[in-house]
Amino acid sequence: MSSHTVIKQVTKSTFTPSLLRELKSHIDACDFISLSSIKTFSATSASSWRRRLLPFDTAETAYLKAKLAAESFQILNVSICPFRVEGSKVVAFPSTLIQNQLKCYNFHLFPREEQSYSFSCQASYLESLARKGFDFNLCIYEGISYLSRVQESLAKRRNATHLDFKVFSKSRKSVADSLFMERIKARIQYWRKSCLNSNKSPHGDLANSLRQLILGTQLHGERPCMTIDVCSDNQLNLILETVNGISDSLVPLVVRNSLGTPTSVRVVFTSSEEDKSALLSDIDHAEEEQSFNLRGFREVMDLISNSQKPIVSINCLNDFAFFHEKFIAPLPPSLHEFTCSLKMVFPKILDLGHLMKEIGPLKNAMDTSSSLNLEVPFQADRDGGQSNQGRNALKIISLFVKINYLHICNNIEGYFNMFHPTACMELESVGCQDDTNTYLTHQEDIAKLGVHNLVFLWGFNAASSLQLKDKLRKYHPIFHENFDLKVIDRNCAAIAFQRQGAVVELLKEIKPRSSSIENMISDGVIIAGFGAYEKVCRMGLWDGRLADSLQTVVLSDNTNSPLLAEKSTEICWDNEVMLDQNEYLKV
Amino acid sequence: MAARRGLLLRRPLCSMATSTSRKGKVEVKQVRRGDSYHDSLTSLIQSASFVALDAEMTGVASTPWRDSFEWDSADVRFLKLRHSASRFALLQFGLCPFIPQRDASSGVVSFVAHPHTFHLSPSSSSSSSEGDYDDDDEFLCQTSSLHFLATHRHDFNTSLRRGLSYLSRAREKAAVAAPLLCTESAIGFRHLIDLLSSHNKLIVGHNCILDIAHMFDKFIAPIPSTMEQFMKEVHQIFPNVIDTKHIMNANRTVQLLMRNKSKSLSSAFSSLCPTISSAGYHRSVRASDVNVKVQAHDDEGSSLFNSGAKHEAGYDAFMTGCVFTQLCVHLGITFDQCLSDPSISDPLQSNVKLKPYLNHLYPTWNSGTVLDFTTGTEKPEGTYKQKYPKVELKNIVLIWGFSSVLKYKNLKGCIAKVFGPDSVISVFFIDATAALIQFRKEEFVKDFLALKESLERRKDDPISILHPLSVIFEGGNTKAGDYNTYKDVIACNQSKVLFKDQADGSGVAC
Repeated sequence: MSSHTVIKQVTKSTFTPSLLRELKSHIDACDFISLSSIKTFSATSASSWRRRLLPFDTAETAYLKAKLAAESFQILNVSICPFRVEGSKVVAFPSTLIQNQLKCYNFHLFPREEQSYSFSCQASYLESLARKGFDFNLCIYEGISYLSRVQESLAKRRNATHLDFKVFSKSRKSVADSLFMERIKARIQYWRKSCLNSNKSPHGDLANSLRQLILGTQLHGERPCMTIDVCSDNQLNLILETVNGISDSLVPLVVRNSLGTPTSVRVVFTSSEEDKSALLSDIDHAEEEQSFNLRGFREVMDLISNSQKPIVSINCLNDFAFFHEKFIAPLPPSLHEFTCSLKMVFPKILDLGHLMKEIGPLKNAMDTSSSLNLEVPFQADRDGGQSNQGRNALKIISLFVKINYLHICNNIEGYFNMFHPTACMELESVGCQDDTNTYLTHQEDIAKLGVHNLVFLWGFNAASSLQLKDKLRKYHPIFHENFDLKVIDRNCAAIAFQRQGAVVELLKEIKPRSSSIENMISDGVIIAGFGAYEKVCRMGLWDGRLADSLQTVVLSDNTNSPLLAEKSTEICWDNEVMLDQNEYLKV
Repeated sequence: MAARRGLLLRRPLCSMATSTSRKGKVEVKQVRRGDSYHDSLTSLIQSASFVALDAEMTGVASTPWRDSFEWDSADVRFLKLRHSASRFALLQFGLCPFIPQRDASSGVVSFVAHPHTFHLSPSSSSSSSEGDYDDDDEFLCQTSSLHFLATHRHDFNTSLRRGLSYLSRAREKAAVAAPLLCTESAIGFRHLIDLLSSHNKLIVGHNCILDIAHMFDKFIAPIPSTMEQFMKEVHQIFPNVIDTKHIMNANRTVQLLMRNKSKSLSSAFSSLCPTISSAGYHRSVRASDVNVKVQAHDDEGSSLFNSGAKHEAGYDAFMTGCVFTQLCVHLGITFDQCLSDPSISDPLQSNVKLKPYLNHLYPTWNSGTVLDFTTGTEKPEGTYKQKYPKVELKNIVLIWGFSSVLKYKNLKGCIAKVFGPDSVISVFFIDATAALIQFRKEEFVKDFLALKESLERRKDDPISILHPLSVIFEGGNTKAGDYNTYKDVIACNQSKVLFKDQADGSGVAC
């Protein structure tokens, strides 16, 4: 690791307001913030269709999968690195302070029971993290907890604070109200008088403690106080009104039970105007500290959000679905609502995956770049151990600088907040510089197709993709055309036709059961358009095999439609990707 | 009366007060991937009178409503048990063979215990080979359980970095087609379980129904869909199981002895086995005490031993075995026959005094019943001190999705206006979004559901708006069903945090 780079591991004990202030000053001085996270799952190492991003996933279906994952799994690590770029050079923030030192913050997170009762883990992925030296004990023992914005406002309603009660003066008070107020007033005044006198009491400690016993005087810190029980909001209101009417030196504090219901009022006696403001600032301070601990890591997210600085990340859809679910609010049902909601919190997100897809193959550029010496102040190395935790944010910077240098993105703004998923690879596998090059050049193999080129097929009985292709050719002449076939999970396949319109022609023949596909139907093979898959995802039919879920949709569909895709959307059909984990069907 | 809820968790989470006296150190052998254990443990198991076991898992209930409740029928309890065992992973498995020996001077039989803690890898968690779930690779964690294990200094890194993998019998069979899955070591650990089974070893656990369910799910096959079938299949594989918690609750002598004492494992261990639990302080051995020594060295010489601590599986298995030996003394069982005739392979399990307790397991909730694995039935257990009144399941209505401000008093009040002042016996809030209402009469259930339907049909007419029950149905999201509906919701696979969301998502009739 280069000496310019510092990765700070932040846990419960080191997560303090002063650390936040330091991070804030770094963020203020930077142009970009790179962001990366480690979860209890990785979409690329998952095998099931509902977890993995498949080459026919649209942004919408990818979002629904990301939503499902964010609701099931947990975040363990978030690493954040503020930085600036000048030409080919990464410049650290406040360069006047520490000359070009890049500081990366790696936050270890673990929820409290209230935030997350239970969560899922992907076992093989956790083990691969463990092999790379990930410290799970540090996470579980020392992880910082958090509260989403929605959870916080719910909690606030439950645990309203001491001073948090609006007194409203009723214009007409009943006789009972007036009697109650008189009685309380007398009690408080008697007690207050004793407080005023107690300072001059010549009888010493014993007499004082006796008086405390008789008058019910207690101590709030070092100040005398008395407690008055309340049974209703009306009583509470009357007491607060009474206290305010007696003297400015009395501070009423509302005491609540665990459900947030007021149970008593603690009237605190202050000796002077200064003493009163000292008390009030103490209370503010204590409440601030309490909510700091309650919000936990959310403070960092708020800091980033408030800075409005562009965030550079990769595979943003998944990461930000998690951030939204854990730190903002439960995820909305559609991608559009999600991007709108997210934009209000993080207005500028740059997904490097999307950027690379847009700017196209960089192979030639990369070849010339290998002789270039980019000034990235670290080498993304493969060393194991804990020092590796938090490197991903640095890898992102490295990738960003390369793209930035090669492409000279004049208009980076144009790429903000695009969440089209890329099915290629996750950053964790980008181990070193060479891999970064592979990542960039890999984009070539991806064919851009539309969902209207796709059909789903299930119920077949074939030993290999080749055999299946042969069978299909016998079923219908359309299968003599150029098409690609991917087996998804043993008994379900996706077929991509090269020719526009082929799918419509094929599906047209299905519902009237034209004789041309009779053999196919009698063999139990079923075909449906992309709309069936969209419906599966939208209805959340995630359990079991994809073929069963598609079947459910087809059976429940009484519109007699061929289940075409609702609108034409582009997908990235990656010819390289092999979907069947067991390679059950070899092409 | 508000009904009670409780953790399916066997040991109370609050039992963390540590005794001031330093406990006798017990060396527990740690077994991780690559450690040798197989041959030595095989011969220990063969010569043991019984083997105590214990498991540590990643959690018990995935949502608050999947915890065990007083009003759960036997079916519902089984569904919850099955869900728990199939979704959560094992982190540690403790095995402790107890080998009898005769004291040379006194001639009394004592035991040598060999506690082992196996660190398991969660990656081999689910045994579902049928392909119901493609996500064999996933397991659940309960946040509070991990925090709890952390307070007991559990080492999560060992499980994930060096945990043993294992393969269930069903998986091994299915893997014939794909032999690459079947690694030697993965089968290795499972063979110990097979060994326990093939020798018909007496297995001893404390409150062990969940441990047995995990053992079945992880090492044998997916848990069958009914309790009867499950018990039958377990009995075929492990024909001799003792639950020390059942003995404590069912035997009058022990009941008297442990009156007002906690029956959690560590409390039972300190009250029943004081000479072992605080060795070094209580030198005076009571005449009735069985002496248990711990063997902390082995032939391989390279093994790692840790000083055992509460909630480490090997140490808990050790405590369980010690508790069992003392319970035997109170039942009037002597261990002479464990040594006298080596031709008797099962001296303890054939003992008439132990027989009534054999294969009787304490259920997850004190329902006044015991699980009899020999017959595959759940039967009333007269000697259990039953804490709660019996519940009439057919008198129960389930409602969910009602306004969050609705409390017990409102519910009871508005129902009383319609069905009479004593119509509701009690209400149980499953969580903030759902409740079970127990009526005095079965017919009220039908009437209530019919009334709900008719009120919904005439949504906007003044009679329905003024109807007392409209308080419950206000907002139009309240749904209702009978006890079977409740069972259907529990039977669903997914686990939404709120019962309301689970019930709405599962599409049960309402």
